[in-house]
Amino acid sequence: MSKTEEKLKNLAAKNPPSNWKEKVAYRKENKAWLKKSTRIALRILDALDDKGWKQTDLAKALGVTRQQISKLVKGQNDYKLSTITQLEKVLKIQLQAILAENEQVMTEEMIKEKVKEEITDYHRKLTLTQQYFELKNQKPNPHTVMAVEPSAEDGYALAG
Amino acid sequence: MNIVSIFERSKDSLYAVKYDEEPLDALELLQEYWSDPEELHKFFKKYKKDYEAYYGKAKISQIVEKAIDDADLLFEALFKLAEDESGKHLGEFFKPLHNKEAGKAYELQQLKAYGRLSNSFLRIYAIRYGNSYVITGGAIKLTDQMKDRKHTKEELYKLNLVRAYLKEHGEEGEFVYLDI
Repeated sequence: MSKTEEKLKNLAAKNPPSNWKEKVAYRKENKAWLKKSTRIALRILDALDDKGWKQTDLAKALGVTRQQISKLVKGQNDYKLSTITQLEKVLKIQLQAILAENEQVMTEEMIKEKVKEEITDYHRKLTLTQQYFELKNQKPNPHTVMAVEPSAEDGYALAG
Repeated sequence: MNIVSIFERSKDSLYAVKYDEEPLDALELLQEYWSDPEELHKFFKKYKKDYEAYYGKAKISQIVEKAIDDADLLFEALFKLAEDESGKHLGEFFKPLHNKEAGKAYELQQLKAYGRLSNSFLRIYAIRYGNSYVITGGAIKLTDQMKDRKHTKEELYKLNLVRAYLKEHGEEGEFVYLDI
């Protein structure tokens, strides 16, 4: 270690070390729920903007102090179900959904992708059906598309 | 201005500046700021146009989530380095502040570290001091030049201020001071 680095080490030794490592360790350890808390905070902040509300307006609506609202939007709050329910009521937004076994969460992107897949599949089936009728020298009728369910033996059917 | 230790290893060490007017050191401040949805929401509301000029249209809450995820990844990478005695050197974490200095290393060089996500807007700034690195601050950089916005311009000022402070505290004649 050079003299200059030694000097830097001595300068740092005069002060308590940073708490940064402890904070990062805490975030790593609690990452999953902190991410959810951040998302709730952002939904609240977006909803306040949409309504043209300040945090004091939300505090009034909930009957709590401005400081309590400030804690809610810092992304570190372990929300109680009763708090979430109250927030949903006054902000008229949905923050949480409890899913049954046969339910799942889908984003708009996922729904669009699913619809796109179904349309592509529909056109594939329509083409196959039209090819089938052409082979049979019959006029294609798109309305009959769903009557012909493609199967693993489609190849044999097309062979006519 | 004070210097505080972030971590010290046998081969290199990381320090941060604690400015007199701040309650926390520069790295801890960044960690607090980049995990705070309220503060980031305010920031991106103010600089939404800058963001969209680079990254395209997006909702503020999506940008904030991206910033927080990126910051977590960046701090975790640095944390991993702190725990690792055998692997990577801090020199691999930081790059020269000025792109024209790529591949060059010298005493009191001004450095930056990028966020981990591709095309990240997060920056941590530091000064090289032997095998030690002193963090001066950090910023969300959404413009080409640091001088283009007040908050990044302030980071340039801090880099120069800390470099002068370290020069003053170093052994006379030991550093090659390059004015860039």
